[in-house]
Amino acid sequence: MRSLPYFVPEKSEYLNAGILLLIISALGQTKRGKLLLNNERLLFFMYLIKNPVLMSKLLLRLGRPTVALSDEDVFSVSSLAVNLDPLFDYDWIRQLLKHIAGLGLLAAEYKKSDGFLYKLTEEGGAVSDKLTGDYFDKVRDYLNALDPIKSESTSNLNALLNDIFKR
Amino acid sequence: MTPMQNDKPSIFIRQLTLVGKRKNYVVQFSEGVNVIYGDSATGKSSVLECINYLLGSSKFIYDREIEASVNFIMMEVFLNGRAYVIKRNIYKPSESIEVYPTTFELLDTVFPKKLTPSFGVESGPDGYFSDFLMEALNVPNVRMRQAPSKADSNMVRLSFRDLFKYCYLKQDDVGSKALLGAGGYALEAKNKETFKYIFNLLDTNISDVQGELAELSVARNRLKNKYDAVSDFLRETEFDSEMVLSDEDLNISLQETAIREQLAVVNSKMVADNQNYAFLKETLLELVGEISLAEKDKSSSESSVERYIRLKNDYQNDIQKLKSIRLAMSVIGEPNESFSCPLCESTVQLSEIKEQFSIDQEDRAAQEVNTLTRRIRDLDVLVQSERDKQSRLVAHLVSLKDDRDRARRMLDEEAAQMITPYLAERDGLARELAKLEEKRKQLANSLKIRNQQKSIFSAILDQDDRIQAMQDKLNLLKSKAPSLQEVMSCIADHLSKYLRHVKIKDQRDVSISNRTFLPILRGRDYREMTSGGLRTILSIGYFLSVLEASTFLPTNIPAFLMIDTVGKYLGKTQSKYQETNIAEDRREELSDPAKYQNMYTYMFDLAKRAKDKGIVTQIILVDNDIPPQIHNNFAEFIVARFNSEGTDGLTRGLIDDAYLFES
Repeated sequence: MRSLPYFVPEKSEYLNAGILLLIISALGQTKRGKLLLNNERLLFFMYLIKNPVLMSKLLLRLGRPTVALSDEDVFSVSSLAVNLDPLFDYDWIRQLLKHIAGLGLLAAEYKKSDGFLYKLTEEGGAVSDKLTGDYFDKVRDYLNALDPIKSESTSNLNALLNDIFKR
Repeated sequence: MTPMQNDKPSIFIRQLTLVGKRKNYVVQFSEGVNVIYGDSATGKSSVLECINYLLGSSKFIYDREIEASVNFIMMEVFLNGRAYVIKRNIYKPSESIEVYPTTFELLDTVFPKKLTPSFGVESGPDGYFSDFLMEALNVPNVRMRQAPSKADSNMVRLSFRDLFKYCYLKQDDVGSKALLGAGGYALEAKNKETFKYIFNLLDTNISDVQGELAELSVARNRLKNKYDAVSDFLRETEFDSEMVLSDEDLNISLQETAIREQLAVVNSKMVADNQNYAFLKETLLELVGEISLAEKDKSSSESSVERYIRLKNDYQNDIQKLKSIRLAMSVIGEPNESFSCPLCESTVQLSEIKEQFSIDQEDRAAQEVNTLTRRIRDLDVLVQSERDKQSRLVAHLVSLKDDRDRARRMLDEEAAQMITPYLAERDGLARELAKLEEKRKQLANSLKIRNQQKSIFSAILDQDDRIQAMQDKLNLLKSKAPSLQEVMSCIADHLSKYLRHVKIKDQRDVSISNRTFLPILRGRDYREMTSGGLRTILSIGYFLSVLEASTFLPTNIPAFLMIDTVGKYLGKTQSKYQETNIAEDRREELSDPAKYQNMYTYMFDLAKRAKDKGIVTQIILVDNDIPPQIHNNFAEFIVARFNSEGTDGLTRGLIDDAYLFES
């Protein structure tokens, strides 16, 4: 991989770690402090953030106010051909989790029904607060839009996404 | 025409026409002698048979060639100097014979009389054909005793057919022992009565002529009344005069010509405009092709633009992400070599991760941002150039579409303004033309009616002539009634002259029998001669002598004679005629070409003598061959010569194209 002559921002460890921090910060717990995100849900939301057109459709399905999409999001080459693989790339999400955990940014709990559930350490919260500007502002907008559905059940979310793909 | 002797009946046939399916077959005749000769089965005899049929014969035996080629026949004949066209259906002898009182040229301008061909059936309104002929020849219409010796015998009408027996010597009759019904009592008796009629020898002669004269006067008055009635009627109905009608006719034909010219102009204009139309149509097609090409260019350019913009948007996303990467690198920091697990507090080694991140160098990301920004600029240039191209294409398309619309409009206009009015004009002209043609037809009919009126008037004049001639004849008969003896010796004198000219061997004792009315030679009756050749010479001589005698004596027969096969029994006959004694023929030296030739020259001389006397004479001869001398010296008398092979430039026969259609 080292030898690849070009640079794919989408695959940047830092960028994705940043997105992961922001997701856990925004969608990590309910108002009452209940943790929400296990690996599967993290991967699901990561996928939505990276495919805003799909996200918009999903919100519409759930009757939630959707997000304002830019021309670049809608009218691009990547929006023409949707790649499903990242939705199931658990190695990738584990790698990212390791990265931020190694820096002491991630805290976790274990629940028998959901597996590991994640939240940010204090330090992690501070780091995530610093992630602003450019693409991160956009990610924050998306996360705001996703906030009302953060408590939807995993199975329901998966079913809806499947339905959208079938169309 | 030669000046005609008023009191002599005359027949002159000018032209015989067989109206055919493919073409017409025409034989022209002139006054005097007419010779038709050629191979057998070429239609020579058919010519005479046609004439005979057109003069009222009850049947016409046509051959296969005629049946396959001919519809009907007609001839132009002058009866006592007046032209008539006689027309008859050859397949239906009982159908009425049409007689037009005119020549071939003016056939369409008059209505025909429809005459009943035979006394056997009831006559139509125009009467019997025989009566017409007798009237036209101005000879008395008489009834004769069937048995002349019995005073109470039935009276029968003498018809033109009886008369014509003395004008037509058929092939079967030439040299025949049964000449003129000889040997058959009833027929012979009737022919003898006819002979007497011809030379005004009947007991009832003067009273016949007187009766005829009275009838002529009655007929004249009837014609006069008819003429007056018709004239009154035409006057009362304000029927246009002949002059007005023919002026009108001329006028209409001028108008017709003008309209035809106009029509030709319109037609040629239409063709020219059609060329315009074709050009426009071609242009239109070219334009439509160009438009579809330009539209394809435009749509491919549009999809290029779309691709460029999508790419640009991706680049822009990437730039944002790259910028954020730089932030994330500084804020999050590189992963530790080892860290304590957030759950179990154990130490985790991360040495394997490190390598992967070596690519995320800050400067590398910054460099990438610059590259992408440059690419975006390039894309903008590309998009702009595509957009320029598009706007050019759009402008081109607009002008092309304008052109196309104009071409379409012009085409429509071309059709609407140019061709349609032409069509209307053409229709108008054609209608006008049809109207004129209709009018012309009506005029022709009107003219026919006027001609019919005129023909009644000329019939009155003719009738006056006839009355005059009949009166003359009556006076002649009253002053000098001919006797049988006088007639017989006159005929015998001519016969004797003929025999001397022909130079037959022994010319003693020539006379005409008072009993049979047939010739006597060397004290022997015609019927008792065994040499067929001699009988041929005598029978022809007898008919010629009757003809010539009629030019001297008051007579009721025209100087008209048809002879079929002059050379019968003279070494030139077909084998079917066996009624001769060959040895006798040889003894008479009848195959001597000089005798044969003399017969011909006698006929030429006879015709000339008659002509000099101002008598219209026509002799039509048919023969298989003619003496070479005659062929060379009297070529002008040959009206037709047939050769069954069609060699030497001769026609193959009367139906000269039949050989082309034989199966």
